Amino acid sequence: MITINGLSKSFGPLQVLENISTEIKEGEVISIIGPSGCGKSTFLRCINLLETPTSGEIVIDGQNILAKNADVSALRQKMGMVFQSFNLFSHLMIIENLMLGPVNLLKVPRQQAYDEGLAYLEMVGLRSKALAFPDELSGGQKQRAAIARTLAMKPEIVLFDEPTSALDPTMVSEVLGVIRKLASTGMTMMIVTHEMKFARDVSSRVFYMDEKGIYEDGSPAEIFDHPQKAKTRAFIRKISSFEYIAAGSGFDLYELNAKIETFLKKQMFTDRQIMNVQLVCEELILAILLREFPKATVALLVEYSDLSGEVTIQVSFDGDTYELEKAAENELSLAIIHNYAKSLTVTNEAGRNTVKIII
Amino acid sequence: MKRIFVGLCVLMTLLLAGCSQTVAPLPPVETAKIGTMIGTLSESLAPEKYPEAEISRFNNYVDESAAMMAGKIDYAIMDYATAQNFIKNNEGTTIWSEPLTDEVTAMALKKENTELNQKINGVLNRYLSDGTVDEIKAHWFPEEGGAYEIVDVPKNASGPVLRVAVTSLTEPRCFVKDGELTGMNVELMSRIAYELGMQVEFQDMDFKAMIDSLQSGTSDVIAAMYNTPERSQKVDFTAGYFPNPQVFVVMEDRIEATEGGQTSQQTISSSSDLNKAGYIIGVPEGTPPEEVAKEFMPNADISYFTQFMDGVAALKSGKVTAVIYDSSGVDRILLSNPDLVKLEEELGNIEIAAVVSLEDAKLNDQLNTFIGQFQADGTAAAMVERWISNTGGVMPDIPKPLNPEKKITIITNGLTEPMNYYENGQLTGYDIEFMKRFASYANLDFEIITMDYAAMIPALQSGKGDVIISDFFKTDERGQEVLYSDAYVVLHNSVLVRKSMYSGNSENVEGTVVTNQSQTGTGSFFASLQDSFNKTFIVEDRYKLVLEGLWTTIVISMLSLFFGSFLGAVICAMRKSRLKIVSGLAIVYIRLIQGVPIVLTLMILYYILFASVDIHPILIAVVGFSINFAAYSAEIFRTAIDATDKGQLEAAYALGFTRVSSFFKVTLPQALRHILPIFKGEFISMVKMTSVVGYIAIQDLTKMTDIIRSRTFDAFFPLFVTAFIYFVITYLFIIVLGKIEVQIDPKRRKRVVKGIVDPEVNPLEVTK
Repeated sequence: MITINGLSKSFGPLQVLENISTEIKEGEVISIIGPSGCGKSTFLRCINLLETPTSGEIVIDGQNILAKNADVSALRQKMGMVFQSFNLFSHLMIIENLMLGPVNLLKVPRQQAYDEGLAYLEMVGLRSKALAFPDELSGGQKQRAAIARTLAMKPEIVLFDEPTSALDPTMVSEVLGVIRKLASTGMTMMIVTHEMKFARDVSSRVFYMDEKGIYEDGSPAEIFDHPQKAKTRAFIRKISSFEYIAAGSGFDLYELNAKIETFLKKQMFTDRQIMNVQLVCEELILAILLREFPKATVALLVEYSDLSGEVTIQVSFDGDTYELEKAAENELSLAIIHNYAKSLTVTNEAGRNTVKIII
Repeated sequence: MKRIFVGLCVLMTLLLAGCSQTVAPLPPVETAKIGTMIGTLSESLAPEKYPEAEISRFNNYVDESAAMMAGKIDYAIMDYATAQNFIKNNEGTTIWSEPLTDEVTAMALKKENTELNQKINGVLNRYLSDGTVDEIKAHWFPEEGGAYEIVDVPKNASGPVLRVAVTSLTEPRCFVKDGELTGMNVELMSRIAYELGMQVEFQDMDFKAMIDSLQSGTSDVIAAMYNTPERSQKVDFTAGYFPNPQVFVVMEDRIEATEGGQTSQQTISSSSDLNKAGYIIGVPEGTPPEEVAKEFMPNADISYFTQFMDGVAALKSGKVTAVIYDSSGVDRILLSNPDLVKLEEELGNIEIAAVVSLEDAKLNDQLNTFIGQFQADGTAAAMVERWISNTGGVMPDIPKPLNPEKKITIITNGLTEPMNYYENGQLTGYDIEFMKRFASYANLDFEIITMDYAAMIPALQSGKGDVIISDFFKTDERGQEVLYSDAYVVLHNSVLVRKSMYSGNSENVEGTVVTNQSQTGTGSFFASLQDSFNKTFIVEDRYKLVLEGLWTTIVISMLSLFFGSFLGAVICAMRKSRLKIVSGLAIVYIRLIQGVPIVLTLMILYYILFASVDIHPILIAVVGFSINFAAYSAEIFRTAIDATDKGQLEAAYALGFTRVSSFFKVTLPQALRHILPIFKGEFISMVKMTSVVGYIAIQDLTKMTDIIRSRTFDAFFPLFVTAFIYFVITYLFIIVLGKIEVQIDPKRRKRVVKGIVDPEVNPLEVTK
């Protein structure tokens, strides 16, 4: 239905989207997720030309809408758009908001547009608000009315641009409910959203956008359960991490401790929790590894997953297999580590030892 | 440091000089603010003598004189001795009047204390007769510039104590010098006490506490108190020893400021009396009256007016001292203004001539031939008799030529009785008869346009008119720019002053007033109001002029509103264009029009751009006000459009509306709500601004008022009435626009969807 080839967009010198190519089939419900500022909304707005792409082509029903002679307005009639900030026409009653497009653009008779409008309002549960003005509605009601307004144009595809971001948490579910209902009717939709659970439940396909493009594309199960790429994984698991290289026994322990503290403070750790992590790192690196291998360069990776609440401390260094727990002189340090750690695993791959401790 | 000090001094001097220029003249004492001292005769005398005055009472002279120096009171009453001392120490103050009272200072004692009284009186009487009192006085009231002569009075080391109540704020009679009480009274009392073998103790107290102090036995004698009948019931007085009447003390500069007016009130009887700095002579600019003012009154200031009536209004309200104008206009003014007087002497001739442009020598020759002829055959004399020597002239029937050679445009003022003025809505007067006769002689058809004097020469030069026949004074200066015909009538310069300032031959004055029919004997305010109303509206059906002017004002306003808004929308669209050149043009237009006064825009249009086009001035006014209004409305539109929600516009695009239809369906309905309140104000201010169209020969409401004023010589009533009419029409416009404003407010709209039948939805059921 929609084929996108080599789509790029830049705002002045700032490149936002780079060479995106994909195809959207009829009936698909595509969730677009990704970190803030990765160009999700821009991508969506490029599709119905609210932003003009810098280069590339968008082919809809065999017609390149970026061609000079393309009828943009006619194209937009086929594509509904739901905005983050609702954008209802404030000088018109809700039913008039719904009738404006059909009557003026589709040339539907007023009475028919009115009746159909009421039906759409009924569908989103707002029939009783037909004669209300937009500012008399709550945020959730406004967004449902905006969805109904989009549907009144009988679009082939509906684009949702963060439809719940501007809403109170209590109103999010009523809007998601309407979208869910819409998805079940087989409507083709693209939804930019931060609601992960919703995206997983409702969509048939998920785009993870990062690095100026579609970074990973797959079914919800693929993206959410078995993300293939590191950034996707980090995003899905809400992982943040921190790296440090300790070169030999003379490394700066105080610098390391200070960095751990800064990192964990950002994740809202208490002082006590921070001290535990610092202690484990110190014992592992200073008391065990660097005592044994004073000249080794030890790479430290501290990860925190917001989803599981776990801190993973991973150290790696080159060398032969090292049986950490078998060395008797490590007994005291190991006792301290075990006191805090949930698990401790040691692996050796291709001549590199890796110790992983999960707290 | 020194430089700063000098700078400060200069600054202070300048400030003081600045202040002295704005000195208020003294009001007449009868209605002035007068300060009196509590306990003096003046306290009761002032309200009695000047019941209308505002009397302030002070406890001591220091407060009183400070109040006078600060201008809180106009006149300070104080006793002669204090006044003398006060003016000695305060430059710029002076004693203003003769003594108000005949008070004499005496000493006062308790009633029962007759023994002491006799003793003191004995010594005092001796002092009075042997000249000791005078000697003491001389110590304290030295010749001008002299110092006090302080005499050591011997004191008794023992003996009974004489406690003397004094008040130390009455230099030189009793005051503190070098920390000790001294003064005339102190010396006198010390001497008396010494003679009586007593020690003396002075008790310094407030004046009003003295009698109580005496009664309670705290004091034995009051050193100085006026003997009043009221007081003598409470205390006994000794012989009076110091006559000290009450006098007025005032600021000298205020007297000067007052005398400027006062002396003039007495002395204006001839033009030489007007030759005085501070006088202002009103004249029309660049005319013989101005030359007269410069020649005969070089010391006086000159103020210019273009309309004679404006000069008269300035004279009546006291803004100018005298007005010089031609004798015909002055005579006419006197008829309805009994408060004005013409000086007897006439200061040279004023030649009244027709004016044509330099290129039109042929027309000028025709005029000159005609003038020679009509003066020779006595027509001129008859016209002077008809229009100038008598009032109520009737225009003879002078037919227009049947087959005119061509048509000329004659410029006249129309506000200058008896030369050219409106009567029953028709132009008439000496000038009008002259032009009719001339047209008939030269076989010409003509039309008359009226305008301000200031606009006539430009109009002539730009070709708006062919000849000016409008009581136009011949001057050499203007002879460079235009051609003057020979004089068709010769008038005199006459000087008009307020009667209240006139002191010439009163017979003349009376004679003038007797001929006045209209304004004498106006009993009450309402009667004069009714008279004004009659003259302004009823006589000669003048209300028709007002209605005509009102209609012109409304037509110009409405058409300019319509075209201006339309042009404003176009300019706004240009301003918002993405093409730099187009939006730049719009910006230049807006800045340019906003930066030029509307009067100048109109004049440029009338005299330059449309100079050679035969187009009705009202159309030019509409063009002028439209382009002016467009500049303002374009900016109003733009701000309103910018203020509407961009997201809604995006939503409209996303639905498939084009940019243009999105604007009309979404932006405009919302912008209108922002526009109307400001738009309303802008329109109202335009309606009022149309009052300047008189500059380009349009007779709008304001101009019609001028015409009426020029006939009734009622300087103020028509102004108020016109202001009121403007107020009413702008108020009506506000109401109408307010209704529209309510209409487009969605919140006040009925909740009905147009063209829809839906029995299920009852608008009343919809709740918020």
